[in-house]
Amino acid sequence: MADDQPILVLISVDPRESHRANEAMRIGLGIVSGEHDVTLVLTGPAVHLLDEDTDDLVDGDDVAKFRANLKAVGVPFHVAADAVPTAADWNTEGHRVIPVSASDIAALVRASRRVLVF
Amino acid sequence: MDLARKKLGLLLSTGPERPVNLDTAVGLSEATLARGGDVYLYLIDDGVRALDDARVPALAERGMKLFVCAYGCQKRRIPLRDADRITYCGLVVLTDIINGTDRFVALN
Repeated sequence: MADDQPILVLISVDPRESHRANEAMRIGLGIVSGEHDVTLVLTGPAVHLLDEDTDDLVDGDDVAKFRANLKAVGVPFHVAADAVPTAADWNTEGHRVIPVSASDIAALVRASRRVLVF
Repeated sequence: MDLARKKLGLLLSTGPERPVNLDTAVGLSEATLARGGDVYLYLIDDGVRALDDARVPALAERGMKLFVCAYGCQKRRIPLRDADRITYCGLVVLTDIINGTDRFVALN
């Protein structure tokens, strides 16, 4: 297992219903802060972590803060292509989004040093 | 597999509402310690409530290294205790455990 392989954090929890989506993103940010590469993957309802209005999200203020920190350190969001919302109020902050297919996600998992799934 | 001096890292982020995760963490820890391995358990998010389960401090008495997210305790107003056996810390320590162990299992 190579040290330069990233740690993958896959989030599928709905941030409109559970604080765990935000907590998973916070963990991803913490890993980055430890100077390790991290791959963040959002699937299903977890894509709402990039909603413009965070008032409807659990711990919405923290969501806004942590995703801004991730943007500042240049960590993109790999987002399941079939879950990307078409609404205009999604990702208005212009976070770097990389659409990925299920097979792309599988390849990212295989290429990772560790995998944390929420 | 010879576990002597092998390092097992565990992350537990769920509380008592999902007992299977805590049971798994305890079972893996007991088995690893019994075979001479080292265990590093990190409690985070609702997992910090596992401190109330008597099996967790008992494993720390047997040599398991126990780390607890200080932020998670603060958010839940859980007082810090047993500072001689429990290390309250942040995510950088979790990253060290993720990277520094031979096996790592996340129970979320």
